[in-house]
Amino acid sequence: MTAVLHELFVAPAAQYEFMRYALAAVAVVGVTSATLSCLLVVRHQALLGDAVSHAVLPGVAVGWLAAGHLGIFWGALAAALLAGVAITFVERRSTVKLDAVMGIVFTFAFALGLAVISVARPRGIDLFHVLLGNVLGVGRTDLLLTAGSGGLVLLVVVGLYRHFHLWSFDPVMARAVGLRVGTLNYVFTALLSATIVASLQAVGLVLVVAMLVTPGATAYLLSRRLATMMVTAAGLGLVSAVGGLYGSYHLDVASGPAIVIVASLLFVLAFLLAPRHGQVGRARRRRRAARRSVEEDLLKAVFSAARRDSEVSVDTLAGGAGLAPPAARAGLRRLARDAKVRLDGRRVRLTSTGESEALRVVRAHRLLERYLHDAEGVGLPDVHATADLLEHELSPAGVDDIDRLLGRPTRDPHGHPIPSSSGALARIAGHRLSEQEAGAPARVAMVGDVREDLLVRMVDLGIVPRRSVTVLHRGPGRVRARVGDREVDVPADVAERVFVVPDPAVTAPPRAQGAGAARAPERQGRR
Amino acid sequence: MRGAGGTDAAVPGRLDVRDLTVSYAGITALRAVTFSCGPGEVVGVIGPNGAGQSTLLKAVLGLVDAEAGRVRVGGRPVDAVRREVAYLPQRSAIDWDYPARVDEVVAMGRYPHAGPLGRLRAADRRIAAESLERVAMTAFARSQIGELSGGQQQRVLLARALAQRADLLLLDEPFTGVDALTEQLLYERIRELGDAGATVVVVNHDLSSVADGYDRLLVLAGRVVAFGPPERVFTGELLARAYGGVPTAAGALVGDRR
Repeated sequence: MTAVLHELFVAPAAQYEFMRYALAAVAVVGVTSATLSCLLVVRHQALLGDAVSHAVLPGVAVGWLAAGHLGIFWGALAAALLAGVAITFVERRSTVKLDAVMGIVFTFAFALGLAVISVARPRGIDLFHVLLGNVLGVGRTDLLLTAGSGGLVLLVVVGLYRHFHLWSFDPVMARAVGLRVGTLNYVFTALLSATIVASLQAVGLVLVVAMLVTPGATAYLLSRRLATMMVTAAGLGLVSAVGGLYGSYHLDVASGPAIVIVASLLFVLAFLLAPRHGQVGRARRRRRAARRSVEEDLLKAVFSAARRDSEVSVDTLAGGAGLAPPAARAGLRRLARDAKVRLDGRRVRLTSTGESEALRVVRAHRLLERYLHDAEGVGLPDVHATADLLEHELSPAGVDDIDRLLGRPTRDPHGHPIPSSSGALARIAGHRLSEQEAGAPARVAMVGDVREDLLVRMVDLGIVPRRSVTVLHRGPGRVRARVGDREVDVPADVAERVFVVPDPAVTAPPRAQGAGAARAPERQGRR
Repeated sequence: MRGAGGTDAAVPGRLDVRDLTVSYAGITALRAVTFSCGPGEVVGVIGPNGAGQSTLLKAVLGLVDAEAGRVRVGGRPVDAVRREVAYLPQRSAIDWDYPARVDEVVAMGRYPHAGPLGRLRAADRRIAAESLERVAMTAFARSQIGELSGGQQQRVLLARALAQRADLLLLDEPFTGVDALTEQLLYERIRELGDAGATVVVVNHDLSSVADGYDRLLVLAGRVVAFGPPERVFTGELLARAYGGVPTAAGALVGDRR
């Protein structure tokens, strides 16, 4: 094993000086371009690197013609700076957008470079090497120039980190607080030019674009902060560059393409497997969230069914939770495995863990209803369905936040008690309006929230929690009642679902005090 | 203190705008806007969409070039006092997928006060933490900004502006697209800023929420339609002028001008 590793990685470097130079050069290029790529990615300017790198070509040609090998470096740097400045300048001084300006400048410069090369035919410039890199030809001087520019770029990025941070996140605020945004744009362009020129030999003009985009994009999937994104990208750039170079050596592939292929494979891996943004994790989270939502709905259904009947069947539950019976059964099996319910033949009971979790869901649901009704103005018939959708998304901290901001309400808009954060639930008081005796003043305590159509009827009739209501007489299929100041006919199915409590605040008429008043059937005590 | 014309007083946070005219590509966005406000005042800038409210804030900050006119903050050009001015951008102007945590964004409010190499001191971190507490977002300090709801994002932006400890705050549509609880909270914090002696200028499109709470309203429709206390400005006639687009001589109705 060690022998293999030695053969693969150490031997080439130990054996050949060109390999050591090449490794050092790609390492510098990988780290530097990856660090800058982060700023390009978060500023949505990934292709600025593309533009500036293509624009280097005429500088390479003219530099070589003027001063030979060393002239390439300075010519390329001058051309890159010129192109970068031209792009920034035209973009700021005209209404043409950045992408179009980049397209114009880089194709123009690229064409200019090709034209110069085709006319002058400088011997010693291998167009293929300029475009695709020739890292194995890196000499001592090249390495010093590459390391020097790379180190300078990193120093500037670290030194001006906070400036770049604010500038890339909120350029308007950056200007508002007096940051010299124009200068910063030019500084950034200079850094970009220096990096591209330093990368020329390692990966070539065409492929440096990949190193200025891919590591940053990969790190973007893996990071929560710009600083960690830069460090991650630098690591990815290093691994791509060094890994690619070894691949190129052993497989006899050109170094530039090999490096870019490694960097791209790393991106694919992150795209699939990144903990938060990766496709695999995302699918698993979606499935888990869907299951949790089913389980919470079931717990709630068991909880409310258990308050009505002592025995609860699976089919009733599936109906109550709005689920297909197979889905409900699968969910119940998971709940039983987690010891949240006990299955006993076709009967279902909550364990104490299950009950406290059910209370937590009910609390979230009823607080959300309160919030939607009071703060967002959602009507009584609609709050239930909306809260059903939102209750699974809300974190415990979010629930407490709503509770505090609403002033710790005790009832939901339908009048149902809201469980406290410790899981205490007030008893439901009162009896059905359909069983209320005529003449006794009462107040609406609670309205059933299951049948939306009946809720609409209730709201139409003015029957909402805390409204005063007095039954005038009970007829077949309907109840005649005074609700607030109106006399209305309440259909039996509505009256079934309205719970009232005696209202001591309303003084009963003088002639029939106390219990007598409640029993007098035709009494119409007016205020 | 009610800044009725007069001289450009050198009171920190006092804002004097005189004859400010701004054009984009030949179209005049603001014409001869003049108003003043001072410490302790919360001024609402209202008017129909596209009436130049956001442009006004940007022109005050020198982010768009003024064709004519003069802006003074505390009696000085804004370039000289940028650290004393906080700007809250519209929420839609921010890329919320940017890799940043809530506490980092709030700490950006301290960048203008940071040392030469941008190092934040302990005091800066404390101020940032306090600002986050004031918008009830401490529990989310380590959350990714993209994971927040719209209202929470708006609270983070306000926390960043609070962290600047500025004398003059310019808030661009802080109430747009936020939930009712956030609206209430933002409103309370803005009022507190005024009570603590800051000058606050708030662009607000939603007329229903502006009736009370502002010390003065600036009704803008490319020019000043009215500027004064809400009870005087908030009349059907004046609003019809702003929203109905009936052309009137600029400021003819405005008691506070000149």
